[in-house]
Amino acid sequence: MIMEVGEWVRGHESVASMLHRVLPNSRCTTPLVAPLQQVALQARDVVEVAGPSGSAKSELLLQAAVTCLLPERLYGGWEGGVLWYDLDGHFDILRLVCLLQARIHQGKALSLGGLIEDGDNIMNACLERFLLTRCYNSFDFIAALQTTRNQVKEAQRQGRSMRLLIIDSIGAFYWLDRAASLVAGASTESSRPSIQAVTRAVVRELHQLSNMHGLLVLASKCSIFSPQSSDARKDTRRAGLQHREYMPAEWQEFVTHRLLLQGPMSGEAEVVFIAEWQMPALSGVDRFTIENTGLKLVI
Amino acid sequence: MPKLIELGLPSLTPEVYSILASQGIISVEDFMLSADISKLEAWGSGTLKEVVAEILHYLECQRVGLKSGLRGVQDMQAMGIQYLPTGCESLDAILEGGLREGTLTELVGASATGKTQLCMHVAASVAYKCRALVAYIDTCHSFSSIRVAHMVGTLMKTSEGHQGGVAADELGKVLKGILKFSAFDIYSALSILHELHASIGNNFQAPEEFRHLRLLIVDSASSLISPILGGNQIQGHALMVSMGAILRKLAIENHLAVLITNHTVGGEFGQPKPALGESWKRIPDVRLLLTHDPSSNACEVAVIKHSSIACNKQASFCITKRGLQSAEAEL
Repeated sequence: MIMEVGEWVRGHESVASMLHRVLPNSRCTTPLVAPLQQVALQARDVVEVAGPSGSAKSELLLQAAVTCLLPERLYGGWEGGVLWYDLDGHFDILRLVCLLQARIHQGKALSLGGLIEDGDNIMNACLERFLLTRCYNSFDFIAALQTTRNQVKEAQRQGRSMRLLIIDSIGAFYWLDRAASLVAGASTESSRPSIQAVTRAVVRELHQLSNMHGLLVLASKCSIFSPQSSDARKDTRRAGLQHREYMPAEWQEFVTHRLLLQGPMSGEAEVVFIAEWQMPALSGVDRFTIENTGLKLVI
Repeated sequence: MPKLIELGLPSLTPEVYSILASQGIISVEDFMLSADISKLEAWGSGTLKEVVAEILHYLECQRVGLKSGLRGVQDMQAMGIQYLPTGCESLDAILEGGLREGTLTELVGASATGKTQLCMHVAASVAYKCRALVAYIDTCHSFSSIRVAHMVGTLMKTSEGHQGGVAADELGKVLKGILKFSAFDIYSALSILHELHASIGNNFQAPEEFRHLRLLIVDSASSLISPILGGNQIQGHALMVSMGAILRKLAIENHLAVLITNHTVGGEFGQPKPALGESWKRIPDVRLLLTHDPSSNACEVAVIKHSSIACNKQASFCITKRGLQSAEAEL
């Protein structure tokens, strides 16, 4: 008993490590990627990037990750770690390297021959800060989140702080989870978990991770229903992007910001994508193209 | 998933077990779904903390953990990035060399736009040029070994110069490198794919040189999936997603290039649209749209989705008696 009290009094961490954990996260200032700059995002926010397949969701997340990884000086990054949960299996390390290279090159060009670190070192340091895991079903995803705690703590102890948690994409196991709860009658023991229970567990783990370490959460969500013609007609009057929710309420309540994407738009010389904030609702629409060096706003 | 008792954790004493059981945590699944780890850890008793750490360790061992980007790059460099040639120069040019290993490519097109011809040509090209095994899952009885033999013969003639006839034993070797499976419903296709996933690394019945399976073709994937999509929507979609998941797993874990086809159906306003819709769309990495121009007899291929190259490139080829001819090569 006395031992336990002693442990409780000693506490889990010193003030220094607590400040180290909490303070750097309040300085998220530089916008991660152009379409996200209209809204001031803070640590512990949960941003959902929704849109149909091929509307540049993953590309936008990659760019955000690149900005987070790059050093602050010269490159205008956050110099922070990124946790990437690849649920779709689309992550391409080549594309990440290509984008990092382009940004490092730009930074070098700006520095006008001043004292500059070797590009390879910066690249390696950035890649070292990037942590990736692939998940093949919802339980795999929950296990990944639960076991991440120790690794994040370990990284923190070494002075590397995680700043960004990315999920691509959150609805990947929607149909599997829906079907799993349907075959409840088949198993004799306790009934299979419902999609709500699974989502609740995912949200609980994400909440604890982001709260504890002050992470910004970015999640892409792929539309699984094709836009209905009646919606499309309504849409032309409202002139906004449409979005049909399918995730359970547990997830919807967790999301604090939502950006809608659409594209590519046909009938133009360039391949143009459109981004619009739905939560908070902003009237402006961003138009952007994707080039080899990254995303570029069209004015 | 196993019960906690079955894991044989050293610090799971009856006392701790009863605490967990009182929270409704009996199996690993319960732990994942309803255990609030922070709360359990803060609760105090040292053994409870140890049990939580042990369960987390068990979960960690069950899966491939977080990998740093640097490791990812090193692994990729060790493996090398390989592109498998489709054998059609104009198409290889826009795809930067062909089908990339580890990715899923989808051909979309109405009937008679050359989907199956292209699939067979890619199979012939990879078996002959890369000396690699090709697994070909035929779902419509459209695979013709005679046609593939023609294609291989043409490839051999063009690469070796016109030196009379084609060596029969060489032709036979290449053809043995193409393993054909038949599946006429999604259940048999899934079992073939799972078997393939389990048996990679073992020897297939194929000539010595052809050791590595590098390409998997499913022609056509949509004819397996579209029949199950009507009616019970949830189950059909779940089967479709699991088909996507096993193809993805084969591509990533076994480093295969996967090529699948998707036919088109009449959509709104008579516009043709892919038979597999929104939920499927996110599964392939690369989507190629095939169209056929009856006046010039040319098949056009357009990139409509790609994870790393711009989506406005086009190539064309003609289907001739001898095989596929790249349009540029003919001019």
